[in-house]
Amino acid sequence: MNEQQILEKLKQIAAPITGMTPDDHKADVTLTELGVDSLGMADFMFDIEDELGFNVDLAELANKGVNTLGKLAAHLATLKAA
Amino acid sequence: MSVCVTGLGVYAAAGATVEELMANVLAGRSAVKRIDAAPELGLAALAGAPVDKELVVPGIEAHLLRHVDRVSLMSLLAAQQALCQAGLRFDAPRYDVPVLWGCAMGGISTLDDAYYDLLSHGRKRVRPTTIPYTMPSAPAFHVAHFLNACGPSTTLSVACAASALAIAQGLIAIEREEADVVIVGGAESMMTPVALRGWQMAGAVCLADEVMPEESCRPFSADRAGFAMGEGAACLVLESERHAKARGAQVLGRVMGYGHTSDARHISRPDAAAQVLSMQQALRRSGITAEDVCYVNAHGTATTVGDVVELQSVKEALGKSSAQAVLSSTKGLHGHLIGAAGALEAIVTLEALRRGQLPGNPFLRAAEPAAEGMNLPAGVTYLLPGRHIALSNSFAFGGVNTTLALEAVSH
Repeated sequence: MNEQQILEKLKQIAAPITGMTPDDHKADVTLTELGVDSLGMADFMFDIEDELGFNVDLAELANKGVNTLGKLAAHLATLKAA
Repeated sequence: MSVCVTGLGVYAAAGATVEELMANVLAGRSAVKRIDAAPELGLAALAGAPVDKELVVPGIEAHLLRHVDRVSLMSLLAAQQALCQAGLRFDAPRYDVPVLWGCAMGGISTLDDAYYDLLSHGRKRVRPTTIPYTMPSAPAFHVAHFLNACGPSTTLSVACAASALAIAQGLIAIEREEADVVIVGGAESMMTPVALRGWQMAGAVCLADEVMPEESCRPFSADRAGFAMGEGAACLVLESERHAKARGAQVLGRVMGYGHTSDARHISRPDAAAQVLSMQQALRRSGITAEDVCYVNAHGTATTVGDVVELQSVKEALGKSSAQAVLSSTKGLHGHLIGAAGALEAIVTLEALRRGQLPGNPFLRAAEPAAEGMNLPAGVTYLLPGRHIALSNSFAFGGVNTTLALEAVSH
């Protein structure tokens, strides 16, 4: 799965959390701006693990400034490559 | 001491509205059925009244209720009804409207799922909403949050007396002029294998009757075998007389007084002296006597010991009047809703008075000998139009006893 495919999948996973349709999620909008709070963020990571198999560390995301779906897709693509 | 009731709401297997609940209770239609808790273990089937409908809360976007436990969803469904009937709607936060909610165990379905994830399915993490959605105070939060009732939120977690005590505390808050409107009620959802089997091992829950599962729970019957676990939520809007009058609200009935005692003797064995005192307190605080009571909605869990102790307590508390006052337990029809039981049964009691129809004991096959000289009809008793008063008992594990004195006018 490449970065673009991961991004599309992330939009689908985020939709039940934000209440928006997958297409309404822009890659460069921060998750906070999408209405995802800290609890929602942890829930989002839980669903990512379920759907994509990535075990994501929230602290690591914060350290690397990963705060949008686009940056998250790029980060996950790196993990996959690694 | 008296406060107005201006809104009622329920969500349970026996009725998703007050109208539906009362139609079923007064017709003697039971929501109890056979339930197989952990059938793979080959254990005997239990009796219960689970809510089988999909829980959709109108007016709230689904994503805001994602993973919220069913105990909170049912709380919202009951509270929305009650507020709607009261003609109240809070579009902005109301810091003067408290929520007092009873709940014994909280969102234990959510907790069960987390256990399975971690211990059976080998997942290395648990959903982050597990703790906040499992807390017994979560239902009160959800009611307060989505209804904009931002006054002090209190959860009373005193087992089967929880929501009756919430009503009593609501009465106190209005009496002390701490609030003019209080949202009170309770919810419970214990339809999990561990909870059900735990109650069974405690000798409290009955097995499903093989021939007539709907009649498995038979309070005050000589052949009783325990209660059927119920599930659901119930809510009342309490209001000061002044506030209700000023806005022209319809008064459905009144909470006149309460009794609240603790026997502190045994965590599960009931104590007659403390129960008697609870009923006597309710009478005294309401300014009424035993002769004024036309109906007692008993705690009546159909356990071997509990029913006998309660009958003896009612006889002592009401004296000669116990021969006249109708006594029934409606738990055989809607199940035992634990933390929601007191509120649901207060609603049944108030609505029964309003309709002038007192529910009977439809599954009373042969009366428990301790009921001799008391008035336990099998069917409905009809009242003449007028003002009527009843008591509703909630006697809990942990030795907490609560009695509510309720009043309504039947037409």
